[in-house]
Amino acid sequence: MGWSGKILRVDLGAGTARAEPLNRDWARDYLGQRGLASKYLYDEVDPAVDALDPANKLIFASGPLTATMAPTGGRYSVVTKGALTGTIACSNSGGKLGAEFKRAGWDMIIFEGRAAEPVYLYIEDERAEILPAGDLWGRSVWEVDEALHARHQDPQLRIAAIGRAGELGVRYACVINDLDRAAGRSGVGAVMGAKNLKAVAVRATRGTTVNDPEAFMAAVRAARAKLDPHPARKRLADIGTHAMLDITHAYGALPTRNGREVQFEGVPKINAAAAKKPRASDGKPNLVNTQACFACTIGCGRVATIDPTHFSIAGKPRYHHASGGLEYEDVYAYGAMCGVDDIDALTFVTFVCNEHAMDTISFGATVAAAMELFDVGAVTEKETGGVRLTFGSAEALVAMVEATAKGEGFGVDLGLGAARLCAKYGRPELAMVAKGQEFPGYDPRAMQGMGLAYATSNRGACHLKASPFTSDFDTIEIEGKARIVKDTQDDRTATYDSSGICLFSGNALSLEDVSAMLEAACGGDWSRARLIEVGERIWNLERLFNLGAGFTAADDTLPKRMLEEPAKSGTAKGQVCRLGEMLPEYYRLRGWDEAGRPKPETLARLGLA
Amino acid sequence: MKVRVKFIGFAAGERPEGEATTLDLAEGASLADALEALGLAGGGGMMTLHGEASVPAGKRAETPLAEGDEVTVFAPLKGG
Repeated sequence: MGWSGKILRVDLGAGTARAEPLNRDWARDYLGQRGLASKYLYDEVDPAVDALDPANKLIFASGPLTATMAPTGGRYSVVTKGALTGTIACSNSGGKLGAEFKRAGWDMIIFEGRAAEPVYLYIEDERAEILPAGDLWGRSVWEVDEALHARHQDPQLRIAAIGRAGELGVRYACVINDLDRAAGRSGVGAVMGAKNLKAVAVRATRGTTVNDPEAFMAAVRAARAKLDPHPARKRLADIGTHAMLDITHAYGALPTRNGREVQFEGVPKINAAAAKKPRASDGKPNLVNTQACFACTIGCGRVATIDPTHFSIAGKPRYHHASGGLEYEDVYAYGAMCGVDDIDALTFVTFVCNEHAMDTISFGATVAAAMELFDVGAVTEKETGGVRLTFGSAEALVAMVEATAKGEGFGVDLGLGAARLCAKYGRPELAMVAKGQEFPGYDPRAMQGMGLAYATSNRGACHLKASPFTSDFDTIEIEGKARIVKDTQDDRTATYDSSGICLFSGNALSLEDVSAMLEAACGGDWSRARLIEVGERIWNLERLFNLGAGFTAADDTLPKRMLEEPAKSGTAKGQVCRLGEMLPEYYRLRGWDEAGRPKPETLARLGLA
Repeated sequence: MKVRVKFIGFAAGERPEGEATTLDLAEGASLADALEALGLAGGGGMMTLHGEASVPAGKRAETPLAEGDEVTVFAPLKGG
């Protein structure tokens, strides 16, 4: 137990939705969520397939702790070949949707093929129907959410949808569930759009069972006793991920103006403290509330409003309400990276990205790249339709998010993502990407371990697939970083991305705490050692997928700027990222050859030969 | 001697978030001494800057402070 034991396989081309048993042998080797879905994808999809081809598959996957009482046990992942990167993609989201489809009785939903016309999937416990969505096509996530709640007359329906961006093939279109929770990265929403799948709507009336309820509740109580009073939980609840902005700025690790700089003078206007200050216009702060996902005892989610007098929402009543607010990656990506210090403009961009389901990191970093292209004259007002796309322009930023979401004018180019955009305009080196995916908000020159993590992440640049934070904020020296990155990649892959709980619980919980909950929920050995082994197996399986897709060691790299242009200020002033010194040790620790391929003995040890 | 300390990334009530505190320390005091004076002797996974230079936990005791120095103490956040 822990697992429901059933998969829903939806053939969109044939119009069928059928139950099949979960492969329990695979569950023992890959746990669930990211790991188990990756195994299904690897076995069923040719890695060389085009991400937008019907032969690609899209998998919504829960973990064995999803929908249980495990603290933060509300996570699910969307796994596919990513439209942005061409790598394997695994985008993790919270909210309520994952717990809902797990409670309905499904460990995973596998979407195959392409529907002839727009459709949505409706699930009510065991019953699953593919229903027409022609009237929903062209509409935003928020409109779809409202329409489906009304159509099914069920306020407790949980909905994930794509917006215009996914329909238009914006390369970093994402899947939004529960209005503002995102399976954000790598373009999973573009894959969903290519399948003519507009939404997934789920209603569950059942619960989740665990193998040993008494042992499970004892393990949950022990975990709660550590997590609830922990200072990190209080910080995440009080100031959210937004708190990181002051840290990276002070440290000199905040990529600014497309990475030309590493500290942003506008931070005091857009940081967590600024979000709490009452506005002059209506006396309200930007941050008006917080929110939590299913079973979450942290509650890091922000709820915000935009100044009603701000230019971005003049004549646009749908933005005059509270909605999902600013996270750290938002204020990094279209704040510091674009040089914009207008907190209301940034909040507006977050609203639009949620409304039309676009990844905030990739959108912001792509606009930043476009601003640098404009700055160097590679893009002009002729291409932008008269918009002066200068660093620091809130007006340009606001215009571009609407253009991108609607597929209008220069927004079509912005929808390509930074790598394709910069290549189109002859300056590929200006894209701050790894394997085609835009950087999150940690500069690899100041955070050397993060640089290695970006370069080796199987889904392209990512700050969530390894955890070198403590080491990187401690020292810029590289000794020991390869080990930290490799080990935390394995830890995180299984323990958090594949179990159904949120990685933020890892601020307080140890692997042993998670192990105790998994053993009680699933039965069997889910010891620390086993979790690390499972994580390593998943990591290597993803690597094999990417090798099959044509990626090589040459793709385990960073932009020239990070490797050759020293940081101008901060802790790492005068330093570049020393990736070339760390990568060979990383390969050795992984048991890979010099070309970055897992050695036969590594594959044999992990059961992947 | 007086040393300025900034706290970043702490929850409300935990520390004076974003504000600077002035510590009065004995001549020759180290960064570790400053943390002890703040009740943070164990470090608790916190990160520190001395001016603009990061100081690993193991080097704090051998990092002398001087009149007018600025120290930054970060709460240990991971990810976001």
